[in-house]
Amino acid sequence: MTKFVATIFTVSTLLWSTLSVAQSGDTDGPNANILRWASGTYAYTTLSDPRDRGWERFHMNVYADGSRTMNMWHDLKARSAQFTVIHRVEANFRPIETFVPYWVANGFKGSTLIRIDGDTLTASASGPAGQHDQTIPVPDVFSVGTHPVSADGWHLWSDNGESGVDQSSKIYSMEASADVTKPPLGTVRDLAFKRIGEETITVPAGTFDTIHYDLSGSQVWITKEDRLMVRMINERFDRDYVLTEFDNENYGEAR
Amino acid sequence: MKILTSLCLLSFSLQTAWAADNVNITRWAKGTIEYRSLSTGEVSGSEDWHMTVHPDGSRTMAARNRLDQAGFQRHVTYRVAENFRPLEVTSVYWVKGEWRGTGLFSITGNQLDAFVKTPDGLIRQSRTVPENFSMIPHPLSTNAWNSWYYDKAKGGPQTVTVYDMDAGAQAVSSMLGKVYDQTIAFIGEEEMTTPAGTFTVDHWRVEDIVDLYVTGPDALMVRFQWIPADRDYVLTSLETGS
Repeated sequence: MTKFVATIFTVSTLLWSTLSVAQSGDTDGPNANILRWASGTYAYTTLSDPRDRGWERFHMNVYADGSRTMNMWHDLKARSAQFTVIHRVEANFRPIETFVPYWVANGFKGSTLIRIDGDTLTASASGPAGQHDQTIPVPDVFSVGTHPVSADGWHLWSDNGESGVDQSSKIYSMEASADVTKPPLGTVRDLAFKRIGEETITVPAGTFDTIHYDLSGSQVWITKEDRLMVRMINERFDRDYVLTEFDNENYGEAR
Repeated sequence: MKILTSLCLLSFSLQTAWAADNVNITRWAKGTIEYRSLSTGEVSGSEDWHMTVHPDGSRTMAARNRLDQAGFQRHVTYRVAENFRPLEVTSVYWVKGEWRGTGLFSITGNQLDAFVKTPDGLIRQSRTVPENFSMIPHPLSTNAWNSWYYDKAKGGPQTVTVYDMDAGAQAVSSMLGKVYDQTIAFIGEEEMTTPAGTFTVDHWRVEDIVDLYVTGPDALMVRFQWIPADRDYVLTSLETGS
């Protein structure tokens, strides 16, 4: 018996600490960290044909402090790009940190960890181009563009609520070209947008109460509370990104 | 015109190229693992993972788990080489409603560099690691990748080395890992049925305590049983593609 207990102790403390902690701290009820979550799938097509260009999955958690984490995985087969993203933002959608491993048409482009502390953004990229570190100032109102569309509604968090008025923000947009000699670091650019108004739209995933924006020439419809992308189209470039599946828990009136 | 035209659609400026298939995705798999009590079947949490195999044979596992009763929630992106040797891990840990840290662990040759941000500040760690080792960032799906250099021809109990992060993230430095050895044995090949389907699995036993059932060339976790602790982790859904 002593030997058995000792063995359990060894395993619990060293080998499977996840499980031992889980046992000692069990509580009843839902997960204390997650207020609500949503997940979904997008289809990427051309507007005109429509031809299949790829697809994307996301899962978003909203935490007890109001912050959000978006996991995104996309297969942009039209460009042979595949990005896996963890993107965290504060309750007001200001970025906290982002991690992206990028695969592009010419192979692995690199992994980048981006952190925001106050008005400083620090990024560290490693890949075929070597190790590159970047520290730049960022404004209070800005977002991080990682290229999957799920979190593109988060670029609009500074919306003042006025419809039909030109507004602007800033975006730290990631280098994501097929050139693997360029590390996946970003630059801060201007971002123009205009709130069109509230609209209810139906997509393959269901019917959603949305806010419609013109986002730098793209028409986007996003949910209200969590600013999740429901649809994005760009006629000039013949692009359509549409939510085809949606699942959620404790989502309340956000949908 | 300073408007950002490329926004988040890199394809906007690159319309001409077209590919029938994504050359960066050799295949992918997506699954859910349910965390249960062995004795009662009560569900205490779950894990969702998505694994991508790339053209160089490397794999990316994006896993997210939640232990509801314990109050844990984690995001992990774990990249391994074709032979399953770790390349890098990013992990975000939440415990009982509080963010406990985000870590990036990069392996270059025999050097492991960890950079962890916690509520108490930044932590850095550099240490050497052996050629044969693996990492335990704690979603169960990643535990299936720990036996990649086990010698099946030799068989029997063999030692493997792991870099194990503290799953509970209890202290300031706790997201940093500890390196230690485990004893693992290959029990044999078996057939196993779970709600996700019927699989031919490799049955592994760790420290004579934990039984792992792993399937296929991508070493996907089908079942993880820790009988003395009354824990059962079962693959309940699986989807694959290429």
